[in-house]
Parts: sequence; structure tokens; C-alpha cells
Amino acid sequence: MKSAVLFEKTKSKVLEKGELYSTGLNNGFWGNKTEYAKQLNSYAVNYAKKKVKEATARDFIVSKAVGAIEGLNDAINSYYNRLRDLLSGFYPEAIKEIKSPEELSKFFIPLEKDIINRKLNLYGESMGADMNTHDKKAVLNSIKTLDCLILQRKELINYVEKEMSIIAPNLAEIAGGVIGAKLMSSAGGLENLAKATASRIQVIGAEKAMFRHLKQGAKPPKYGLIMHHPLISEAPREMKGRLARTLSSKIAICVKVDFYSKGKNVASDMKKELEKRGKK
Amino acid sequence: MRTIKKTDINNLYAIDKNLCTLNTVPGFKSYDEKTIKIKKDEYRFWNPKKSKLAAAILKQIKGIQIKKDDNILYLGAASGTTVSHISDIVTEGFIYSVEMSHTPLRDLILVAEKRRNIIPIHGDANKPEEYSNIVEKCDIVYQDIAQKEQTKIFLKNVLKYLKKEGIGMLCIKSRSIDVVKKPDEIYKIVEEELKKSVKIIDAKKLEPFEKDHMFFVIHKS
Ligand SMILES: C[S@@+](CC[C@H](N)C(=O)[O-])C[C@H]1O[C@@H](n2cnc3c(N)ncnc32)[C@H](O)[C@@H]1O
Repeated sequence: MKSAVLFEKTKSKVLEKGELYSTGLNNGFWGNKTEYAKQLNSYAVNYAKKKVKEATARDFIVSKAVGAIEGLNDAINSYYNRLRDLLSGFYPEAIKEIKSPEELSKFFIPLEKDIINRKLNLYGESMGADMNTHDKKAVLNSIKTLDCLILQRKELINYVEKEMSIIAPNLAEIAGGVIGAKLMSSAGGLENLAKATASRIQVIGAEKAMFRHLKQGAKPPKYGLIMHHPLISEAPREMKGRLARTLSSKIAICVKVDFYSKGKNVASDMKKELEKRGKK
Repeated sequence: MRTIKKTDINNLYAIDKNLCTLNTVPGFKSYDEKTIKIKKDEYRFWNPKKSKLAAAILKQIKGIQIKKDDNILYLGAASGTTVSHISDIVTEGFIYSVEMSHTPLRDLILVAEKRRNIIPIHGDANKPEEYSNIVEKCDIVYQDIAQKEQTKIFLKNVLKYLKKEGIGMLCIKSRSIDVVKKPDEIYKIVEEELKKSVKIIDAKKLEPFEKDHMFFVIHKS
């Protein structure tokens, strides 16, 4: 018989110090303290490993994937700004017209001044430095690298959206996969988010402002992460607060349904209703 | 020349005013601690800014005793920073190390695989009945969980697991109880709550090592 039976057995009352050891000793499970320590330790280690494995649920993975998206956002923005600086040496007029990282390759490849100027409706002599083949190679590779990052971000977003539609379909539908995943990540998992109240969900991501409110009596934040939801971001200012309240209460219901009664769809109707309200 | 001084606690040394424990698993780093070799022995620096127990020892809080054959119930083990140093000390005892969150628990498990006296437990300190299958009466109950209900949870475990003459150590982070109230008000409330069922031996703030933390040492009665 393996000693696990001794460890697994539920005890009706807390054992005295050394009781487990002497029980095992009397029954031949171990011959001395060192053996006992070894067996107790491996039992606990293996059991804890099993629990960690079970607990490393899909919501954990998706929470981390959405973290990686944020990392890429930072990387893309910072790299894009450096590239703009670089390109401004060669194409000072054209770079002024560029508004987003995605536009760099669209307008700049191939790196021909005439073509770029035509695409951007620019005329007249450029102030930029001339480009030799080494310049071209360096710039081209840099733009391609940026494109790679942009593409990878897109793929990660698709991945998160797909996973979210499996883990928490109602949440994904009402909040959007990425915002849903970020809420889940900040709450520390699906279960925690399911337990959160609507008013808590409304301000997830605005912890600093909340703290200032509690501590220094500043205005309470109206919304946190959900401000990136199109319903809120596209709404006129005066409606944002009210819509944020409505949206977070719907999110709260959706995530509860996802966690407690798997399989039911409640988000579709809510989404229609929300869209109607947004238009009003 | 380095000065190395023994302390009252097993395997705990003061090396040039730094707290260190003798590494019982030489060559193995439990986290990113600094180590130093003196003659044949390896010592691990025990940083009071990273471990509240080290801070409490340096602040000379009364009643802190750890013997080499003590069994310790440690609630809120996290990734095992403090636990690993206690593991150097209680060479003939166990540290039942309870941690709820699986992220730090992963690191703790890796440390426990190398240190036989660490017994990792994935559990909730608020449900002490759930680990009674392996945890026996303990000489020390230590808690550092940064939770709203921390005093209540501590007392539950003390009543259930601390042996009669045992020592309880409780680290209170005032912010996790209430972010608005002044820390001193919170410590007062905790003190009153403790006094109802246990005897307070000493209590000190952990400044300058840790902000807004109070460390209590108690006896069962
Ligand atoms: C401040 S950290 C502890 C650091 C650790 N004592 C050290 O010095 O190395 C608090 C830990 O308590 C854990 N915790 C919080 N509530 C808990 C509970 N009810 N049961 C078990 N662990 C809990 C948290 O997950 C966190 O890892």
C-alpha cells in the first residue's frame, strides 16, 4: 500500500504533532524521519502540481495572450515613432502626412520619391536627404519589421477573440473579445469577473482614479476599460456616463451566464438593445 | 575581513550586519537571493525589504522564536521567499505552506521539490478544514496574506492548528483592510480583535523596511 492513503484520508480532528509520523511508522510506511519527510513532501508536491495544472485554465491563457497584445501595442507605437524620425530625414514632407503605423508601408514602399509623392498628392522639390542603396535597405527592412509586428498583433487579436467566443461567448459578444479578455485579466479570471458587481466592472482599469477618489476626494471615475468599447468611445460626451452604466450592467449579466450556466445566449438581444440606445 | 556572528536561531547568522541563513541546499537559489561562500559554507542573504519576517527579526520584535524542530503553518506562502529561509532554519521540522493563487504557487512547488521540509498546499487560509489531512498541530502559525479578513482568518487557524504553548505571528497590511482609514486606526481594530481570543506579546511597525505594515506576535492565552 502506498503512503498516499495516509495523507489523503480526511481527519475528523486535527492531529497532534508527530501523529502522522508514528502511525506510518507503526504500519511500515516509513522507517525513519527522513523517509517520512520525503514521502510527505512528494505527496504534497505532486498533489499541488496536479491542482496547478487543473487551475491553469483557458481563462488564464487568454488573459496572458491579451497581455501580449498590449505588449505589442507598446512595441509598435514606440518602434513606429522611431521609424518616423528616421524617415523624416529622407522624406520630411511625406512623413507629415502619415497618421498611423499601418500607413508606413502603404505609402513608402517602394522607396521612390516620385511614387510616394504621387500617392500622397505632394508636389515640389523635397528637402530630404538623398537615399543610397544602404539607406534603402535599412529603411525597407525596418518597415517590414514593423509590418510583421502589426500582423502578429492582428493574429493574436483573432486568437483571443476566437478563444473568448469559446470560454465566455456572451461576454465576448457584448464587450468584444479583446475588451472582454482584458476585463477578465484584470479581475483575475472568469470566476472573479462573474462575481463582480456591475458598478465594479464599470471602473475596472480605472483603479488609480478610484484610489484618488477614495483617498483625496477627487471625482469618482465614470468608466475604466470599457471606455474603449465603440458604444462609449463613439458616443457624445454627455451620454458616455449613462451608457457606461448600461453597458457594464449588461456585461455583468453576460459574464454570470457564461460562468454559471454555460451554453445559454443572452448577449444577442442585449446587444441590439444597446445599439438602439446608443443611437438615441 | 567579514564578521560572521551566530544568532539564537538555528542556522541564522549576521554577516557584516546582514541577516543570512546557512543554505541547506548549497548551490540552489530559491529565488534571486544573493549568496556568499565563507570557508566551506554557503549563506543566503535574507533581505528585510523582501521578507517581512526578516524585517521583524531586525526590528527585534519580542517573542519571535523558531526552533530547528518546529512545525510551522505558513499562510500566504507566495513564491516561497520567506518560506525558503525558514526552511534553512527548521531542519528537523516542516513548513506547511498554504498559498491560494496558482501563479506564485508554481514557483513555490519548484522550491519545495528541492527542499524536503516545505510542504506546499494549494489552499484557502479561510477554509482551514481543507488541509487537515496533512497539517498537524503546529508550534508556529505565521500569516501574511494581505486580505480584508486577515485577522479573522488568522484567528481561525490559530484556534485550530496552533498548539497550546505555540507562537502566532501575524503581518497586517493596513491598506488591504481599508485604503481610506488611517493605518493606526486599523491596527487598533486588529489589536482589539486579537485580544478577545489571544495574548499579544509584542507588536511593531515594519518601517523603514515596509510601509503600512504591522507585525504582531501572540500566544494562545
Ligand atoms: C504579501 S504575499 C506573501 C509574501 C510571503 N509571505 C513572503 O514573504 O515571501 C500574500 C500572499 O497571500 C496569498 N493569499 C491571499 N489570500 C489568501 C488566502 N485566503 N489563502 C491563502 N493564500 C492567500 C496571495 O495569493 C499572496 O501570494
